Amino acid sequence: MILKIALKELKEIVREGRFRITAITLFALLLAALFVSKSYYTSVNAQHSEAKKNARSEWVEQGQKNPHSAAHYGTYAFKPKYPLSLIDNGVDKYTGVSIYLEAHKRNEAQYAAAQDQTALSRFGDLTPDFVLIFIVPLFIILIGFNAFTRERESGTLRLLKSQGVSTWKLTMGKWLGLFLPVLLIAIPVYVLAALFLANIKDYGQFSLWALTLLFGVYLIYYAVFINITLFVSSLFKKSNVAFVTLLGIWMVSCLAMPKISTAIADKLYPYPTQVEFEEQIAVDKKKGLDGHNPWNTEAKKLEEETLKKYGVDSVQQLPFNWDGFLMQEGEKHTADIYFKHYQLLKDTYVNQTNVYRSTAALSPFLPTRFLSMAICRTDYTSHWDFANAAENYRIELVGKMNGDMAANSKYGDWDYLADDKLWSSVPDFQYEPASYTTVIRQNTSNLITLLAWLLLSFAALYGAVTKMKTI
Amino acid sequence: MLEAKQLSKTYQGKEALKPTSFTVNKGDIFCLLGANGAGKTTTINLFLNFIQPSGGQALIGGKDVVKEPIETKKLLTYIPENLMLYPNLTGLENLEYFSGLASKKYPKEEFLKFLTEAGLQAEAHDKRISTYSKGMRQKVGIALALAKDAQVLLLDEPTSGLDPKASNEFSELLTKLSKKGVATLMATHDLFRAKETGTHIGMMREGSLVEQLTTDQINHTDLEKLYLKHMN
Amino acid sequence: MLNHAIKYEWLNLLRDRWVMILLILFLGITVFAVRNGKEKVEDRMATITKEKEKMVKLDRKMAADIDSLNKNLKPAPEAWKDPRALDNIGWNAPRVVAMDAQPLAVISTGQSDLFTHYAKPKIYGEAYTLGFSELSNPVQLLFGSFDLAFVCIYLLPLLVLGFSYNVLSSEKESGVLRLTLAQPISLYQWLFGKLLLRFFILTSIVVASILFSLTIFDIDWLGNRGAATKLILLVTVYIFFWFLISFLINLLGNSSGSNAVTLIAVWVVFVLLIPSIISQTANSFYPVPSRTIMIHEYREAKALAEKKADEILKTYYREHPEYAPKDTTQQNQYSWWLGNFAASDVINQSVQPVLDDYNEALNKQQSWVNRLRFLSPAILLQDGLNDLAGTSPAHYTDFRDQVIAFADTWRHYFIPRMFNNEKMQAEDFGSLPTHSYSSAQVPSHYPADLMGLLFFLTLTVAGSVWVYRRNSFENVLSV
Repeated sequence: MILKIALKELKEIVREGRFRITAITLFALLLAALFVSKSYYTSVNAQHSEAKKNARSEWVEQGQKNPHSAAHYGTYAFKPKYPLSLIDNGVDKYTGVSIYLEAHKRNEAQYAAAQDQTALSRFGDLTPDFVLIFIVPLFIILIGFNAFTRERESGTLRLLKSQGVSTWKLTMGKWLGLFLPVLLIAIPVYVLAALFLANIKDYGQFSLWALTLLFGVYLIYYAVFINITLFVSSLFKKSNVAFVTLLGIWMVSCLAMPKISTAIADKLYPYPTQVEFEEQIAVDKKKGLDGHNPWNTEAKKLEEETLKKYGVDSVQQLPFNWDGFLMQEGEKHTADIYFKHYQLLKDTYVNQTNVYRSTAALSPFLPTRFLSMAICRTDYTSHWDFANAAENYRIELVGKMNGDMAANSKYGDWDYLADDKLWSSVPDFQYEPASYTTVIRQNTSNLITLLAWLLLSFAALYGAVTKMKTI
Repeated sequence: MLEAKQLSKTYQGKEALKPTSFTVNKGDIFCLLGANGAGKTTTINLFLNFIQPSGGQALIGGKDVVKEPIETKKLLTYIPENLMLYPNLTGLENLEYFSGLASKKYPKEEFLKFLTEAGLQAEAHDKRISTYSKGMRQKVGIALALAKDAQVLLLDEPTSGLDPKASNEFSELLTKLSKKGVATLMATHDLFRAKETGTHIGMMREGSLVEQLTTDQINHTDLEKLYLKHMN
Repeated sequence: MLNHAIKYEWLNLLRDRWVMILLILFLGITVFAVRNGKEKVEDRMATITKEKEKMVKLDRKMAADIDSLNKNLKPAPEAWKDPRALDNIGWNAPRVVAMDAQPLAVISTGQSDLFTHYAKPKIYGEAYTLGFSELSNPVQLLFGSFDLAFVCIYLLPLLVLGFSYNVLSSEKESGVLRLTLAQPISLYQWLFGKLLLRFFILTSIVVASILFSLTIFDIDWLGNRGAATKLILLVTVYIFFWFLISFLINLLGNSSGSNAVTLIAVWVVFVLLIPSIISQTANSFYPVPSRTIMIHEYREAKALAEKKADEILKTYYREHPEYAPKDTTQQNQYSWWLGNFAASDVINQSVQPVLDDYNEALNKQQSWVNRLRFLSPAILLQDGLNDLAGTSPAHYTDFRDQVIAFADTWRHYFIPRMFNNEKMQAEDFGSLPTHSYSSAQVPSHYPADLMGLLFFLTLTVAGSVWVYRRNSFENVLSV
């Protein structure tokens, strides 16, 4: 019965010119987006692997140097690109791709692609996620807005009712009639994406499971939009009114809400400007230990303590190079300061994220957007995770340099030189992204919101159609 | 005043109106009778220049409606089966608006007089059209004819769906107008009204005008017999 | 006749609840958008002001210190703290090179959320490696700001379409059209009149909302009448374009539902699809080479130059005999810096080709996009608004060039003095080079954007005439 209705709906939809045109356009767009993204991904990955190789060889082949100078010379950590970023590039365009790792200083990731692009890129790029998250809901609205109003306008709804068809069955039929065309478009894209990804060499193993999860999220999102579309269509008498209303809903949830949430998040929990942030760090740094300034009060204090501990009366008598030790202590201190301030920054970011999570109750777009980015590992949390890993690597690297200096040279001996044996003993920066379990745990709230949208919209639809009047 | 000269209309090979000629003079009420799809509405649409004739001419006041659409429309008032007006405007405002489109301007009292003359009760004048019944809307149409000082009335089944009293009132108004010299072309299914109100009757079948007669030539019973004869 | 039709159209609109709701909503949206813009601009200007105040304070303190040191009122500090040392001034007291907000900056966030609006170039270090990136939550960048530009580019067309998609079809569907057309009027004049009225009403309300919002947030548009007029003109033309599209679609004589679907499709194509396709093709056809590769080459060149620092300094003296020490008996206190200056020149020369390649690729992409912007009125409007707000990519590129130029000025103030082993004096603070921002050098896109929009207008007018020629009442009335 339900299937019969669904097939009739499908027939009606497919026979309409507007379905064919839009479906073909949509499919073509998705294909184009997939191909273009793939070529972009490949070229970015090639650049990335070259840059990574360069950075390593620069480090290893820097020649003979004082270890601390080597720490100043530093190296780069590169953010890997994950296969699924081909589907959803998330915030990658706006986060830097590389972090400069040097002594005394935690740097922000630099060279975000958006900074080198034209203002046009702010409109968004034709990537699969753009089509999947913005355009497909519009497509659903387009083919479904008159699902009920059409029958009402032509009077067939009365006829159906007089045949004793239960409205809920009718609705389920119509629901399937909308869901099937969406599946028809989504499945080939899914298969194609899987083939593309399976054929991409190296760079993160591709997990079919993650891709399936991603498509699952999108299908839930579409189901929500189908519910909303049918709900609105069942409420109004006229197709026009239903269409305009649905369009309004689409606009608010996909275009306006993200921006409004941003304005709210920014108002409630403003990010410090680059300057403010650096200033706060500088203030703390000044107060504390300065590894390069032995006359600093904190340094003097440390000197006294250390001398006492080793029972000697001058730094020359210490069993290690006092300069190296002092610098490492300074390093630890600055690392703590950075940790503290980045933690504060992270708090702001978490607060902002919570704002988005609460406004997600007003827009199914938001939880989908965040889940999609998270699964594709292109969300801000992934970026933080990478930045933290890079910082840990930096601390380790600088610690090793200072430690080598403290252990192998004498106080005041700035001519001590280490060579590539030391450089290559530092392992290359390796970054393992968070496991999917973690990703899902971090996004439980988004998942719950999205599921709540699904259930509530189903309930609303159920309520509306059971109370629906025939005329 | 109103003349069809070998007027015809073909839609995609189908003849909706075969070459037809007739004349409606001043003061005449010409009633077109016939089944649905006989070509009555097509004839009226041709006089309104809503559709292009495939052959022949439709003349109003001696002017071709295709060549002088604006001039001929100044002379006529059209009342379709279901006269639709702007629901958010009052009866008076609708009247003012449509007369204005025909470049007719009067002080407000004049408009009110027209509405009263058309039989619309005074308390309805300032109510929005959305509260009007069909009969009341048709009366605004008549008031428009009065305001436009129309010499030609084109009516497309104006009384169908009206209750007998409203229908009767409408017929009386038509008679009043015809006495003023207005030429009326009316498509209708109502044989009784056609006989009572009309001066001339034309019967149409499958796009042809098969019979033309004046109402004083025939009584009710014979008219019905004649009609059924043509329809079968 | 037209006046008359307009009067009643007005009455009709006035009594339509939805129209009123829509318009009030628009006013609210505009106020919200301008508020958001205002907040951003205020933050930006506050940061700049604070930085400049700090600079002035530091200057005063240093000048006072120099005075008291010269008068021996204070013991001489360590060399690296001595305000009389030129390197300390050049390094520790950099000038603030700021990009002041344009008067109408509130209207469009543009690229302003990506970059900081000032830099402090020092005597050493390559200006192009200066960080200009602003600290921000990338999610916010992804979602974009709810600014006036967003309202105009995305929402305004939808408002226009909502206001006009059924201007003809609704009358046809309700049946009033038959009575209207039985009157001695021309359908097209009448329809155009109706749309014109709606255009005037909507435009007046949009313009009034914009000016009202600007006024309540203290933006001096009266004092910048030129820019404000340009803004209004651009937005008006854009609104008119969408009305004409609606006129064209209405002329085809389809039902309201079908008009709405067609118009939304047009909107999606112009506002969502074309921009994203162009943006994507720009990335694919003219990919910008990786900055990371550029940085690698820069570091290689630098490492090489540092190894040969001594040699480089000798060559440098040969090339700049004016800098060679005159009094060889005295050790130059800035000798470490002198080597660095010399080396940095060499580095700059050797990385120049890398930079040039990079900039060339960037320019190619930009000019590709600049040409293709004429494919969508939405891009043209965005470009025009960014141009008026001073937040276009061109403005930021220009600002970076200004910073690089100033860095050079700054360094060349110190270099000769340091080679002469001079010291900073208190009165020198007045003669330090200063920077004042001007956007005069940025080539204005505005005229071309406006022309582009007018071109779209012409296209739609031509389309309407074409449809009108082929059309008859039969189509419109579907009798």
